[in-house]
Amino acid sequence: MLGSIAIYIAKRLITLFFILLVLSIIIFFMIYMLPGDPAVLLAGPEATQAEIQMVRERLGLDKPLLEQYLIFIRKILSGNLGESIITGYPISKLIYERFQNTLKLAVFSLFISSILGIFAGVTAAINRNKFLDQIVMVLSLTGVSMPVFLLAIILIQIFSVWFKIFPATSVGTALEFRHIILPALTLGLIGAAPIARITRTSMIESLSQDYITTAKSFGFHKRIIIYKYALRNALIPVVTVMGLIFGYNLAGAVITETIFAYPGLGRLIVDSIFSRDYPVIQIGLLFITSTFVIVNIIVDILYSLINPKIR
Amino acid sequence: MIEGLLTKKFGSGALYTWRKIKRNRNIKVGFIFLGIFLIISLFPWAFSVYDPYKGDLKESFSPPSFEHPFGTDYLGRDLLSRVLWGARTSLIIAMLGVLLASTLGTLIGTISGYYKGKLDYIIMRVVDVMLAFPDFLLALFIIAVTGPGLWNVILAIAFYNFPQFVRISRGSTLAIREMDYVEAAKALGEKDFSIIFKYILPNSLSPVIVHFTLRLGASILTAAGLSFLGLGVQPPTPDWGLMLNEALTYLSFAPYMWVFPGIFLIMTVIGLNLTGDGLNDVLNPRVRE
Repeated sequence: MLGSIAIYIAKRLITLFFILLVLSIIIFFMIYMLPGDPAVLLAGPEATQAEIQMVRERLGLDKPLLEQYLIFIRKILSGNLGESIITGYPISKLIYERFQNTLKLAVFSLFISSILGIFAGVTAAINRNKFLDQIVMVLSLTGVSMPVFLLAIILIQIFSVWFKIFPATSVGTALEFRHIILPALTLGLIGAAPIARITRTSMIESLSQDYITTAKSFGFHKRIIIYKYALRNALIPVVTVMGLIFGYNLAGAVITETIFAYPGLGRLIVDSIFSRDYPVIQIGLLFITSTFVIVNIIVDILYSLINPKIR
Repeated sequence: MIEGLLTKKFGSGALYTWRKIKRNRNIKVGFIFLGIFLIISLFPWAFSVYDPYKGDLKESFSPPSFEHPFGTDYLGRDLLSRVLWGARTSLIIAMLGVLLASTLGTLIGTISGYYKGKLDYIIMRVVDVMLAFPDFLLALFIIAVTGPGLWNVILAIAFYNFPQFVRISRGSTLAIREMDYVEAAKALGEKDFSIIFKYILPNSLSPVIVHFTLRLGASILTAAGLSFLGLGVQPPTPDWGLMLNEALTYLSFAPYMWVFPGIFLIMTVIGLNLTGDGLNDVLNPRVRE
């Protein structure tokens, strides 16, 4: 039994290695897919001829491609990622600071999604095909179809413009808790929709099991049956969806962070695309996608530990 | 009339499916939303007399009125016209992008699944890697390389949707190639080419159609998201994402600027999702709960 778990984990880790390898190759070649001389692109718009020559030598841009790729990888593994060509700020520090902010936002919004989504899903399941169920289903369909930026606009309109409770941007001030609330609410509400759907489906199945009927016949209180017995077993697929949403919050918060001018990784990448800060685009995309892939593999492994059928 | 035609052309199976489609409530509601979307994107000029590109600065920021039912924007352009023509922009981008992805993806997936072997193995590993990345970041990557613009957005959408269609059509091909009628065709000496086009493709299309519908909705959202960020379609093209971005600046005194493009955008995506869910129930019954 333990053997099959180990084999499964080993397989997933090999896949992970393979994906990271391909990812790093694609990101490395990105600079060659662009029109223009890579050395000029990587040195920045205001670089002098001497600086361009220096970049060319440091990155080995006149050497064979394989050697260049190895230099690129060595640079990443050593953590010495160079500087932004626009601001001159060290990229490793930039990524570290921005990632902390993105992580805070991701955790907080996952918290909102889980509480709302599970509560709505359970409510829908115990009122199956009744009015409350239909309301939850319509809301979750809306949530699944809702563009993040539209929800953000609606929340800004209500909470920042009309009621003036929360600020709409984090520009010009140090990041405080009140700046996180609206972006977290945006991501949290969007994420609640799929969680509600999967909780409902899973709860309906769990409530039809024999042990629930037995528990009912013993005369246990309804709330205990629902939350203690049925929900506990229904949560397995829900946890997987939560993991996926967490991954998306870490990687896919690009639009939300940009609207609220939230200083996270997603906004860093969008800003860098606009300013053609190619070293930052490369490292940023590499970091953010690797995080997403790693989170997904961890979720896969955790799921296989809870549910042996999957292996 | 339709029923008679269907039975004549495709046999009683098609009639049965058609009746199930007609009974499905999701599809009914979805079709209504989609019908509205299609009509306005095909004939936007029929519903508004104004030019979506030309504005009258004296009229800028007029709230909804009889002349301008959705109001006007900061350049005094009629928002109703821009919303209607914006439907066409969304339709062109999502249709072309997903059509490109599904045609290429289905062909490659079917061939890969039919021949199996080494090529299949390599294709599937590439697909696995592509599927490991979040959609929006793949699109952003393409845009970072190609730069913004309508055609580049179509390319980005085609690129990230493509591996999903390979995976899906390969899966159904693997099942269908073991069917008796394929064996029979082989025994009768039919060529691989005609087996794939006559037997495998037509029978493996239903999951592709469902996925096509769902991906249209998701791609409309991606395209709108890219133009909202300023990385997609560029002004002055009428586009829902761009309009919502412009509205963000004037929230304090012109909220109507986001309300109408927002409603049309979400209604279109809801329509596509409902239709996709409904088709899924009808065409792939085993996934139904």
